[in-house]
Amino acid sequence: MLTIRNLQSGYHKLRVLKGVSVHVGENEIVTVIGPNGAGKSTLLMTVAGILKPFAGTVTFDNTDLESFSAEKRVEAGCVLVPEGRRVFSTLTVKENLELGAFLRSGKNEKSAIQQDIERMYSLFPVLQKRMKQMAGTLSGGEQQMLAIARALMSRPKLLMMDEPSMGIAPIIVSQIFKTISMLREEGLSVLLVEQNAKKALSIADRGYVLETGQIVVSGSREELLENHDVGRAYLGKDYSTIDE
Amino acid sequence: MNVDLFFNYLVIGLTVGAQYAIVAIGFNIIYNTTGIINFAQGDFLILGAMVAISMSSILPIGIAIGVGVLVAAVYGAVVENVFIRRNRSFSPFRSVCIGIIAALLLKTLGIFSFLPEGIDFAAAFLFGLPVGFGLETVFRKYMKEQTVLSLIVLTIAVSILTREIMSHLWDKDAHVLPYFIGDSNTILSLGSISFSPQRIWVLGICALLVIGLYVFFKYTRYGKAMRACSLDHTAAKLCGINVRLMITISFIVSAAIAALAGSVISPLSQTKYDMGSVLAIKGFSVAILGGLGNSFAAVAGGLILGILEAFSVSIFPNAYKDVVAILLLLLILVFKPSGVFGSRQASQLKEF
Repeated sequence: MLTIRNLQSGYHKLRVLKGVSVHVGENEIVTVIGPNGAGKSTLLMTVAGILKPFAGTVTFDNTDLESFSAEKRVEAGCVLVPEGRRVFSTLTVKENLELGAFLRSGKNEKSAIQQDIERMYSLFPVLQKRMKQMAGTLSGGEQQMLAIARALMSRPKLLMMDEPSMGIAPIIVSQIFKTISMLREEGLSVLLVEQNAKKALSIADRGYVLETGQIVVSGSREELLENHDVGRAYLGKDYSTIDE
Repeated sequence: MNVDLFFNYLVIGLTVGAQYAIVAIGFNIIYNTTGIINFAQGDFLILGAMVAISMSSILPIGIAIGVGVLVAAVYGAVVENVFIRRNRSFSPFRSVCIGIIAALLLKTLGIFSFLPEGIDFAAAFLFGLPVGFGLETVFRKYMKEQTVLSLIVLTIAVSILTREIMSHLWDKDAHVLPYFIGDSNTILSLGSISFSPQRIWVLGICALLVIGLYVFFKYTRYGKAMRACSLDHTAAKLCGINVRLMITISFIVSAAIAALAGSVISPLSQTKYDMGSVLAIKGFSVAILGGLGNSFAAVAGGLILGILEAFSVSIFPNAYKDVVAILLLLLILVFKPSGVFGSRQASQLKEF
């Protein structure tokens, strides 16, 4: 589905990613974990077409995305839920959802879009309650749900998420993650970037550890959970065993 | 001041104010999508009115105004494409535009004045267009992302350029569009107040524009997308919105509404090539008065300024009329820079 090969990217002259290769298969949840400043967001922003890579390739559905603008990538089915949610704060919840389907709304899919909005309401019932409210007035967790729902409105094949757990109550995070695994059952592929490694590995099939712009460890969920270094650095294992 | 005079001033103030309001809304539309304050806004208005005036001699007045609006809209798109957009890939459209500007400059400078009339124009274009393609080929690679401030200064250059082009395409005299109904002596009486029916046209059309824009931004696909762009360009792109296109549309829309407002008010206030800069200052004062980016506040601000100006005539000499706007601008900037209707918190988060 998505293949990233030897990607180098960053801001202006600052090279953040120093050759990163990541693969997401059909119907898979893949997570990239790592500390602050490792380049996780840079990776997703580059795949989404907001940042231009210095080198390397991004292939989606067997097409090279190099010449694709950010909008075209959305159209191709590769959508990012950005870090910090970035909902349109002075627009209503419903308008936010409609804008998620912006490209589809030009193609006479009015009733299909309406159906999808209803579907988002059933996935995240709180959004229906708040549909006429301005998005900026929602709580952090609700905004995160809205950001995910907005991205889903474009009917993506691959959903990329940048730290969906940031600043949100653990119970809401579990709820969101449950919804994500449910969407995967329906055929969605997911690339999940997280600092909260424990949470991310709880739903992922495979994972990569990104440190200072390079992949240092990769493997299946079980391999990562059992990896000593990963356990100590990201899962707080030594400490939890002491606690117990 | 008796009651009749009061209402007469009020009607005059409202019509002039409506024009300011439309210019200010134009400022806001572009400001919202780009953060730029477009000081060529007043020149868009004059350009549209000038074209409408020229066309009105051969076309029915409604169609003439339509042509004026269309020309202004295209010009707005050209300004955005040539001056504002920072696109490093080769653009044939930009080349042609630069070529036309070069040709007009050659014509203005009189380089080909030894050739007969008409042929000199053709010669200017023959030389101008390759110059446009040449400049595009050589300099496009040096296009840099500019700060908002330098783009604002650029719009002042565009304003001067537009004004000079207009002074050569037409002349430096004041022109008027014919009254829509009757002539300058036609008077509509409402009790003891009497005014020209043209004032109803101005108020009516400006009101329709405001309602139309409200509907556009609230309910249409592109309107909503433009509001999204005004909040967060990156998030808009991630929704599949073509932000560049929305910026172009914002220039087209503000130029078009300015041209329409300029045309309806032309019979009353005349149209002259250099009136755009004064209008830009008035419109800017109004936009600041209401709070930048807020279109309903712009309407209120426009009407307030128009009325203040109209009444100032009864106290100060007529020549001091323009002082009102500047004074108001100064007072607002000193005491409430976020605008009368703007929120202080929001303005602190903005670059301008």
